[in-house]
Amino acid sequence: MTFQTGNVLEVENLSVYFGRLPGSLPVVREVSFTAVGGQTLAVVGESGSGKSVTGLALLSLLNRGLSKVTGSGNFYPGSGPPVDLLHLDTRKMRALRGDRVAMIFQEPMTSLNPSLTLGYQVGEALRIHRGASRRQARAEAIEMLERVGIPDAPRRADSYPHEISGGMRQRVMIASAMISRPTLLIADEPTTALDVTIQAQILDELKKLQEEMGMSMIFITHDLGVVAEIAHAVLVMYAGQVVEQGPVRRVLERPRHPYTRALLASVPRLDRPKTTLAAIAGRIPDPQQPIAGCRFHPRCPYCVRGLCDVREPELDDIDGIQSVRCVRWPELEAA
Amino acid sequence: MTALRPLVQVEGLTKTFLSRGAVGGRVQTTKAVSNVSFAIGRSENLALVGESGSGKTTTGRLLLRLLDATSGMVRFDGTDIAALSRSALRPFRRRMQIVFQDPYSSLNPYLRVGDAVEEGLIIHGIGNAGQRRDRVAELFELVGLRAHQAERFPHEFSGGQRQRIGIARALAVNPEFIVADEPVSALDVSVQAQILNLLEELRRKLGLAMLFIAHDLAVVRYVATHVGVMYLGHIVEMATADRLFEATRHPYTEALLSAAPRLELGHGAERIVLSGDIPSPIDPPSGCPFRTRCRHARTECADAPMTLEAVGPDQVTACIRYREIYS
Amino acid sequence: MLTFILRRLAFLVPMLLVVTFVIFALILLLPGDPVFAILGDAATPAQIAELRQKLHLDQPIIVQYLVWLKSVLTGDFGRSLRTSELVSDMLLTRIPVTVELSLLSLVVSCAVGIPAGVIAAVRRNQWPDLVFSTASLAGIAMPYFWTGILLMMLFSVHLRWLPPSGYIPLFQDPLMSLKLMIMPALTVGLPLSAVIMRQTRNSMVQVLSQDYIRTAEARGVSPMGVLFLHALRNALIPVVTVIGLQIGSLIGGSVVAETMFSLPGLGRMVIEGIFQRDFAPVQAAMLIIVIGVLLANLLTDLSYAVLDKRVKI
Repeated sequence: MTFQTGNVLEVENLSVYFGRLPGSLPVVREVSFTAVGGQTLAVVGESGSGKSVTGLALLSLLNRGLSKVTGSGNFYPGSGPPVDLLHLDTRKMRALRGDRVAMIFQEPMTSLNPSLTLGYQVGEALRIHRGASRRQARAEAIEMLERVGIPDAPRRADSYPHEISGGMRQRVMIASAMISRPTLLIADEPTTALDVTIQAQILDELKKLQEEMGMSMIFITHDLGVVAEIAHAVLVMYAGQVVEQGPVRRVLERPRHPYTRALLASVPRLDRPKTTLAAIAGRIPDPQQPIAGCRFHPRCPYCVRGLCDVREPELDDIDGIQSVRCVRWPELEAA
Repeated sequence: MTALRPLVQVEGLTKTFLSRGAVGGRVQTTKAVSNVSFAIGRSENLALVGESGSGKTTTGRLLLRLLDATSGMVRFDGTDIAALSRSALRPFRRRMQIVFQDPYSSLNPYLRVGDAVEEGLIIHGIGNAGQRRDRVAELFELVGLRAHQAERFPHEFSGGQRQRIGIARALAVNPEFIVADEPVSALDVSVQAQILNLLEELRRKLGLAMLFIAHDLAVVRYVATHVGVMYLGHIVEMATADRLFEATRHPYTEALLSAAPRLELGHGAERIVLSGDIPSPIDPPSGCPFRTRCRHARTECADAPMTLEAVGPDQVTACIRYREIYS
Repeated sequence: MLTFILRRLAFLVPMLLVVTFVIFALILLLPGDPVFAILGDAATPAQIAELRQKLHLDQPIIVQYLVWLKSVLTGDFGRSLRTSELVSDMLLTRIPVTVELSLLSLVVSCAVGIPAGVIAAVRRNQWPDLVFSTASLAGIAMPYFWTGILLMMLFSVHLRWLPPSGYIPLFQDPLMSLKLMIMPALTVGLPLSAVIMRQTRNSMVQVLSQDYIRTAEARGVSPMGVLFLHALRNALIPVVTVIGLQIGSLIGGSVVAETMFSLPGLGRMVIEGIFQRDFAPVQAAMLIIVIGVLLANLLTDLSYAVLDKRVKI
């Protein structure tokens, strides 16, 4: 097994448009980021931030007829030359999916096929990509099921999804994604539908697998607590844009963007004295809604009229590791 | 828990569901709620916390008589409503209301939101048309919406706004008691805080008694005056909110607190990760229901019957070993 | 599984009793008297009375039914009044005809309906969907005899590809037998295929939007694999329900088709018997048809267990 330490994925200016009408506004706007081998990049945002669409766009899982994706996404598959995920023909994309790049989803209840055995679903990627025989695939599937903590794996391999609990199903999903030892795992809210005690188990499992297999992970979530648990770097998205990015410690402990700050302040916490929660006023905008200037300005407590509602801010590099999309960040920092 | 007579008093509440397996299967019984007792006074907010299958939602439904209890008593202002006939129950219906989890499916898409809020007033024969319209406008202002928005339809509102409408609807008939069933778990964090603050403000302002059902302990901490932790249909620990968070006396509560993701970095090492799943409620463990996942479990935990022991004046625990564990 | 089948079979008995009694009673209530049909108008009252007694026609319906039931249980279905042929012999030659026709019709309806439904679902709201959906509407709207006449006009009269009517047992001359069966099977199967197509399309559209389909795509499964391995099996569950519900109309169609294409099946046995007031064959044929329908329903329920893993029986 090769542990990849360098960049696994370099995404530049990824934009996603929905609807065939010319002039429709993007739901994801010029998102750029890098995923590193053996590390986890968390993409965090609320509904309509474009975080899930970003993940689906990377694997061309959006409906092609109804969406348009621009930008580039250079992927380094471990061996061989890099490929641009966003400009790959369907055959080559299919060869990558489930092999070098795997994805898991939010709803363990509905993300497994109800009429196929767990063993088949876990081993399927090997049969497709490695030409494994039925028996080989099953044997490796059982091994993988054991590895993700499914008790009595040989028997479970012949079970169907409805026969196991939600937490177990998510473990099966993880097993089916990890069986081909992918270079990159995209996890779209994999613990959101689970109970907290089960969520803790699943997060531990993912961390353990990452240590063993050295894959790079893009972890999409709305939960900043989960980000603190699992991520090395964070991308904060709001209304289709990246508003802040940097190493997890920096973003959570020294947030520069007013949205990141407000979001952190609105999280109910067990580890701080109880105070009134600082809610963010107003509502989350529709991603395609046109907003002049900074997209957060209508809800921002630091908004300056004539500045924030006019000038669209760039993503400013602060110190080489953290960037923020706010024209006022130096002032706010000084204040 | 209050010196005065509590508004809602529950004693030995039990609900058993019968389910038949497949065709020709045997009838199975599931105890969704087992011998639950608590009291909620005016201006108090009791939060019931637990994971899926803990029986917290069923308890809420039993309190409102949306479900009939198998046994036990629900006293509302002194009257046992679990024993009342449907017609005798009617006057009590007005005094207790519910706020649902999903603000998307709990509003009729073809009904103007103002009409949805007004419906309760009509059902209970409160006021004439003009008075009702004024009341709806007043309610919209109360929950932080504008009066003219009453003319609109649900799809024109965001999730947070719909939850405000749900709250306005519950408050329309001037209830004394509200069951809020996971009112913020479908909402985004930034909006969740708005709703939590609103509920807290309304409780204080209107002196409402509230049962707040949630799976998230952190959320509960901001609104609850008292907290009951449920596991497999049992209350395993109950205390005033401050006691529960600062002097936990049950291993399950401890595990829940520990499992909740925290914003602080680098605390992962000391966290308690429970192994395995919640056992099936059809075939629950004997003795303490939590013992199969508890790191403090001993053989005696399988034998001792479930009873709540007072730890102090405002705290009870079901753990028979709490003295040893938390000394 | 076995207990389920036995239990269901036990349920069949009271159901059969009720249904056969209703059929029995309805036939006796038909206008026309078999005695006159047999003896003609010139019969003497003594002859009439004698025949009535012999046929138990002077007894109340319930007694006649019990007499009939008793003989049926001993395997005696009586004789045809017209031809004096043993009804049990008639059944033996006619059941295979109807079974062949029904099975072929079912094959036709699935072979046309399921692929058309899948294609319409994959190309939904594009021209193939439009074409198939319109055709299926026409198929549902057209009465059997009309479809039959159109087929006969086309294949027998204009193209002269197929003989217009007749029957040869399958084992005697398989090719000729199938040639003769094609048009009847199309007549019965096409309207049913329209129903199957619509259900397949709708459930396929629904299944294709499920999360597990996206999971399969994310795993690199080919479009064909997604369609046939991951989607179709789940989509077929409601289709089976529809087929089960349509078995009644399949039989109804067979009666029409057997009459149109001169096939000596159970359906025609019923029709001929009714026209000639020859009730013993009618009652026997109806009994067999009812048993067939009930068994087909049992088979439908059993197939759920095979298709839907959540169903345990």
